[in-house]
Amino acid sequence: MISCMGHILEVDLSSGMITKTAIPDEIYEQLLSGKGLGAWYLYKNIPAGADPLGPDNVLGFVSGALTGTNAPICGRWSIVTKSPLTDGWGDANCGGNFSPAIKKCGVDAIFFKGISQKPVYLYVDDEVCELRDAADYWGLDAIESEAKLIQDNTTGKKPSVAVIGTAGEQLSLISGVCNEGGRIAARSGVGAVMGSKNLKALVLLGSKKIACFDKKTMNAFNKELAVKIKKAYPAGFMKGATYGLLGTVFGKLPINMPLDGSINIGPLSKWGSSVNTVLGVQSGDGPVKNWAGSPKDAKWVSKKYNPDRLFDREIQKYNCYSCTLGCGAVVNTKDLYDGKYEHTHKPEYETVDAFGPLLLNDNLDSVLRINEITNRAGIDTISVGNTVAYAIECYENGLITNQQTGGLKLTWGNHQDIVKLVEMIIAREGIGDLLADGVKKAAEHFGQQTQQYAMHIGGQEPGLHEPRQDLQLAVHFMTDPAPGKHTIGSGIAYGNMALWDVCSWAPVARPENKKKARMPSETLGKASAATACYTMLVDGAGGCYYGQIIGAHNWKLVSYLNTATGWSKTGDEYIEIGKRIQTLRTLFNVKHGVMPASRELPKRLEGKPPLRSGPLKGATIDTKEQAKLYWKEMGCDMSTGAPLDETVAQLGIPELLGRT
Amino acid sequence: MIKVRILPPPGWKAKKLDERYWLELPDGATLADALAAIKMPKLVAKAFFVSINGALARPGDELLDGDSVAFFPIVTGG
Repeated sequence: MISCMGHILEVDLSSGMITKTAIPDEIYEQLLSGKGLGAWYLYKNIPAGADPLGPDNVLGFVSGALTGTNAPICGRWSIVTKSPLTDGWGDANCGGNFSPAIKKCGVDAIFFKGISQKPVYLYVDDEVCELRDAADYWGLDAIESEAKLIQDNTTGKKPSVAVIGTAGEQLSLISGVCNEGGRIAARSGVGAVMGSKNLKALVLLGSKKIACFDKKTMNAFNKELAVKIKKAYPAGFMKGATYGLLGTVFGKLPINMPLDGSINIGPLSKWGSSVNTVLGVQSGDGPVKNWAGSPKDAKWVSKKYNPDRLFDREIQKYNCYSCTLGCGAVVNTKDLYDGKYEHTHKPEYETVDAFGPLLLNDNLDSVLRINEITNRAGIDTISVGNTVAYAIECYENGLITNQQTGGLKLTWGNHQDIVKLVEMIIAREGIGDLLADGVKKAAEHFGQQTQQYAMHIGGQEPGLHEPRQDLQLAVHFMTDPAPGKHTIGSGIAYGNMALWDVCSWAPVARPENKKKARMPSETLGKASAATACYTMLVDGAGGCYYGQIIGAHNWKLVSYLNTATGWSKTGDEYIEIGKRIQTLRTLFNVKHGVMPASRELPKRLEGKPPLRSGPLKGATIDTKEQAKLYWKEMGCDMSTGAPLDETVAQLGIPELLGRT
Repeated sequence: MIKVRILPPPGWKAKKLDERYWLELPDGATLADALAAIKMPKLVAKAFFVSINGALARPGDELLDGDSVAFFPIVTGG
């Protein structure tokens, strides 16, 4: 496959042996790169029952099939592993410039197994590939250690670095892996796996060329999208304050309207994902008060979390590799707290909701502080936020005492003590040590009575979007092999994506009564299946979720893939590749004893009992019934969720797993 | 001929769109032509901001093949 490097690096940290291995073309043709290549390798190489924090687990850093070809918005890198949070498939991804750096080393992926006896980092350039002593970096946070690694390894050209912070070193099960000043591939506990291997970082300095079959056409595609994005900025007629009103209107409408993905272009490019905070809370998509509240509990949200408040702090915008959307920025924080941190990445929506409305915290300054310290620690803000929300609700109900908190008053909205609690989680101090492994472990410690406040699916805390509003999202939360992820798909995103332009069997989104949209249906099952397959295709290509939600008619993934590879596959043929990746990820879980149907949403997330106010008043869903209809479309057993033998055979998976 | 995608605003059943929300128009057609083709009265159109590919648009703006037309309720403006 011309746009891939055709090789992987295999690093055995126990023996120190490093091997460059050729990958058959057939693997790329059937699975692309990214999570597809990762699923193939992990299925073959992690023995059933392997301890996620033991030597048999494999940790893979994978690039994408389109990364480096100048295909727009295709610069994501992924980490794949067996998750210590869920004991099943785990993955996380991030942007920046690390993805092309992997391919410039002449490989599509780097897989680690074993455990090093002492802290090490992997260094790769065009001549050298070796493990180096990381003693000088162990104990530093993600930003400090990245800066020092760059300083110590710059020889004319600046290397790209992926690194764990202190949370990963301390094996926090909700830790991630960082690049570029605290950006983080956060989910599935991937940082703890890296820490367990005594692997501090990867430092990449290759300069290999990445090929594209038809560069001229690809450049034209890139330019076409760049022009659209430029015209849509700065969201023209919209101001931050209007998003609360827009959310209120959407929340009150009795119908779900499919919205064209192009309307996401301007807001994402101007404000980034944090624009969704007021829109989400007001419309019912953004959870409040540990998923038990409504906009009535957070009447301040439109004022306090007006996206213009973050926009006004921006000192620098930035783009990921090959992205013209540019949702990221650095914001000034010199005037906050002790002034120790002069700036931080503009927090993503997930972080703002997790430490704002979810905790009834109206103090944006504290969210900015938490954003920086969690980035530095390398810990997942979605998981930490859900875990803090659990702790507060337990405290408010007398299930966690002052003695246990060490004197912290964990009441709703007490931002001073919320910041202190997050610092304790990062440092694993006092009660923080009990919360540092996520909400499932915490609830196991604090007892049965507290389980009702612990929001997780199979051990993974959910992304901050409302399944009670969106049955398709609920199904992805439950059925994806890495559960609880908001980036697999949702009903809202489905309308944006216009997937029916890619996949002949994907149903066209129609306006629908909200109550009816919460009822299980075969149409929704098809939409969920098409979405899951498309998302896997995007991951295999190294694409970004924000490319997806501006619509397939704007971000033309199928055309980009054909242009990069010289293939002439149809949308349906590519969707089949996505289905193969998703099936292989599901088979990984089956191999490791995690049956898809064994996972379930917390009762609260299904509206049991229903909320009494707000846009979701009275809303309940039946995720399990809808999951069966998704599995039917995916060729899985409708009672267990496991892929049927005939599906696995039809996708040619046994033959692929037989290849070396 | 060109094809543009039009996702109708809430509560409005647009005519002449195919089942995937595409509308065929002659080369050089404007936004006003498109709104006329789907039989949207000017008064209704004025209740919304109309965008082409996510950018605020005016009735005289020319449409190109593959463009997306979308609507925002005017209450959100300001």
